Amino acid sequence: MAEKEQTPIPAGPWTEAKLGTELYEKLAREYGVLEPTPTFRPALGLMELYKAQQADASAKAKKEK
Amino acid sequence: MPATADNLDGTKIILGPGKLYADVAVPAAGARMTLSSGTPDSTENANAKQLGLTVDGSVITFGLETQDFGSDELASPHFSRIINTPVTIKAKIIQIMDFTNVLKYLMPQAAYSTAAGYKQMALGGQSAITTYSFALIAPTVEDPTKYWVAHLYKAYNKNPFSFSVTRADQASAEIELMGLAIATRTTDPVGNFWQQI
Repeated sequence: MAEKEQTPIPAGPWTEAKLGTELYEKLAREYGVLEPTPTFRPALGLMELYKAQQADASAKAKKEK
Repeated sequence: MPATADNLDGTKIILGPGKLYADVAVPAAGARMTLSSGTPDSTENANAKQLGLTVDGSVITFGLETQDFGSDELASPHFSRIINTPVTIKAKIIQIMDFTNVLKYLMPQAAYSTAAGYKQMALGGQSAITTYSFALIAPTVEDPTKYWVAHLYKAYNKNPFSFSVTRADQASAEIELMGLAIATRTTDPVGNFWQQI
């Protein structure tokens, strides 16, 4: 499970074109544990982490009701 | 005393065909790529492209190079250490006239471009190698709705791109995708080999 201080993951697809360079590199380092290089800039597979964060957020919202 | 049970299971074999994909997403550390009906999930793997038809499928090699250490006193090595573990996927591809989905990913020595009226690979002048994430996916024999995956996170075609042009046969080019390690990942730096259960 992702820790609270980590950057929230936006909805996919997690490509650099969609995220923007700054957020893409941040997510790559935090969740993919990879350092993008000029010749290696893959999309990131964050589906499970994203779902976990969404579930966590909706559980909190229900609690607050 | 009880006997050991046999383990003879014809459904645990691997039988293709498999599908080879380029530019799939690299999963979070320790995770696996997301599949949808035995293909890369198109939401998560927005850039993924199948490398098309092959002559005779793919060959995966989980290489192992070891160094044996011996002694004067013993006739056999007393210790071995792993020195290198190269991982490769080989295939003979035939969709060579597919610049956008195939050639672009398999010619690190060339630069792809397209504009109105043409697609091209510009030759020469390259020094840095552009790497991609490649995955081979095939159904299991035990349950055709479940799949196994061999995934290289950071790889490139290390073979020269060579094909013959003749009236007698279709052209094919032999590729060898060589997996590199992502230095920042500790548990799965090169990739993974896994199956759905």
